[in-house]
Order: sequence, then structure tokens, then C-alpha cells
Amino acid sequence: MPERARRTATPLAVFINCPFDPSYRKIFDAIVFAVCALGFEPRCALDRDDGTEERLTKILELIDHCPFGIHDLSYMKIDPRTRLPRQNMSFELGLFLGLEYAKRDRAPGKNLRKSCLILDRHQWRYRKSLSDLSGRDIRAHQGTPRQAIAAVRGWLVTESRRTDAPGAAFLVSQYRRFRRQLPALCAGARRNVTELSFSEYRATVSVWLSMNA
Amino acid sequence: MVPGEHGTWNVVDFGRRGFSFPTKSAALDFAKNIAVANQPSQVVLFDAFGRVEPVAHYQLPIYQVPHHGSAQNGGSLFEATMKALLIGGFAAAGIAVLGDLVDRVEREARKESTKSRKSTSGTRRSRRT
Repeated sequence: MPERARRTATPLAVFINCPFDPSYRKIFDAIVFAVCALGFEPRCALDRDDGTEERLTKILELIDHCPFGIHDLSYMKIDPRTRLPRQNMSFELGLFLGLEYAKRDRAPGKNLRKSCLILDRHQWRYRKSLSDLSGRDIRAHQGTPRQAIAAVRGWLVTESRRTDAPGAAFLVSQYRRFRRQLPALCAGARRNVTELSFSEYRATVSVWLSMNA
Repeated sequence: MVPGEHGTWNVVDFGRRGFSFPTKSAALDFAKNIAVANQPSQVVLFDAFGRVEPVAHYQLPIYQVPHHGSAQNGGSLFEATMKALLIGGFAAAGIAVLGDLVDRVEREARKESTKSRKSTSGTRRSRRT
């Protein structure tokens, strides 16, 4: 296999629209790892969480900047505390699809195409609450990091037409190695794994990958 | 690939075994052969200043160290810490790493850790449900 030519361009950004609930974190962390391991740059609303910018503006700018988006609808359910549905993920998915449509219409022929992966815990659950998505291919991760990584890898490689991407099994084994080493790395930085901010986690993944692949 | 004393170069394989070479090009050839035989893989070089440079890729993309990282949000801290841990691990495994490099990455990690402690009173993730 010949050595791959080096790319110097900025990596393509992937907008991650997922719950930031601690109970979802194992899927979120796996998705961020998979995006980095494929040579892309994960972005999310936590990127610039300095409290000085209006939240919706920040999210719209992020969506506009990212040609790819990953949207997880698995928290589309009634919150047992408030007895209200959680709407943020489906709202941001709507923003992304709207911008995708607007860009496709207004700039024909230009490379402004956007693409998104819609994830849920089960493949057909969305039909009962978000039937407007009918016709879209929704991937199920069944609540497991392994299937989330495989879904992200399959979609991102297809949509980016990347030819140097490692396979899903390799990514999963790398992710397991990384998770085993993460507590010791965090201890070296005097942190707990659960205290890592999004930026810190992303930096850790990127540096680990550059030294351990 | 890691620089050693007296101009030598070390190649550390996947089993953390070290191999010493008199020249950089000989080390690079050896490292590439290991990487080719263990795809997907890559060859990464540490220079004498502790900087990391990917030099060969086999079925892998180039991993990007995030340019949003900074001492304030942890990017530099983690990069420095991981480099120090990795280089320290090599030295502990008996691989003859250039002494200046060991000192430099440890100093960098200590500096970033001090900066981070001063500026991370609010690093907990915000919650969105």
C-alpha cells in the first residue's frame, strides 16, 4: 500500500447535535472519537460556551460552518421530572435541514452541499413522533458506543468519499484502547474523566490518535 | 521515532520495544517497514523540541490536533501532558531518549498544568437535555 499523500487543508467540521446529559455521555464520547479518528473536526454547542453569545446565534453559525452534521434523536422522550418532551435535538436537526435546503437552492453548482446522519436508539421509532422525516435513512445505535461508531464511520466515509479511512472494527478497538488509557491520562493532568470539558476531551482524543494509531 | 543521545534515533514499535539507529533515514526506513506490516498505522516523529510530526500514513487519515485548543480550555495542557507521559514511558521502558527532550516535555507539562489550574474553576460541562 503506497504512503498516502499528505493533506494540508483544515479538516472538515462535523456538527454534533446530541444530548449533553451524563447518561448519554458514553455515546457522545464515542461519536466524538469516531469523528476525530476519521480525520474530521467535531464541533458542538459546547465549543464556545463562554456565555457572551446568544445561544441560537452560536448554534446557527456552527451549523452554517459545518458541512456535516450528526443528530441523535434518542432523547426524544418525555422527561420524567418535567413531564415535557425534550425538543433541542429535533429543533437543531430542523435548523440543519433547513439550511441544507436553502444552500442547495441558492447556490447551484457550488460546493455548499451539506449532509447529515440521523441517529436514534431504534430505527423506526421516529415515525411515531417525527413523521416528517419519512424517506430519510435513520441509523440505530441501540444505545451502544460500538454501533454508534460504526454508523458514524459508514456515513462519514460515504459522504466524504474518503478512501484512507480505517474500518469500523479498527475504530472500535482503538476506542476501547483509548478508554482504557484515559483515566491514567486524566490523572496525569490532575482531572477526573467525568470533569473533562468538550474541548479537553476533543484535544485528548486528537493527541492520543496522533501518537497511538 | 524519538531522538537519542549522540545523534542516534530510536524507533519504538507497537510493543513499546526500542530499536536504535545511527541515522534518521535508517530509523525512518525501519519505522515505515513496521508500519506497512501493521496497517492501519502511521509513523510519528518527535523532534528534539518535543514537537510531534506525522511522517507516514497507511490507511489512516492525518489526525488534526484541534486548533481551538488553548491553555484556557485544556488543549495545550493535554497535548503537553500526553507527550510527557509518552516520552516518560519510553524512558521507563529503557529506550534511550534524548535527555533534553525528556526535560523539555516535562517542563512543558508542568507549565501547562499550572496555567490550567489557575483558569479552570468553571470547566464542568454544561448540561442540555
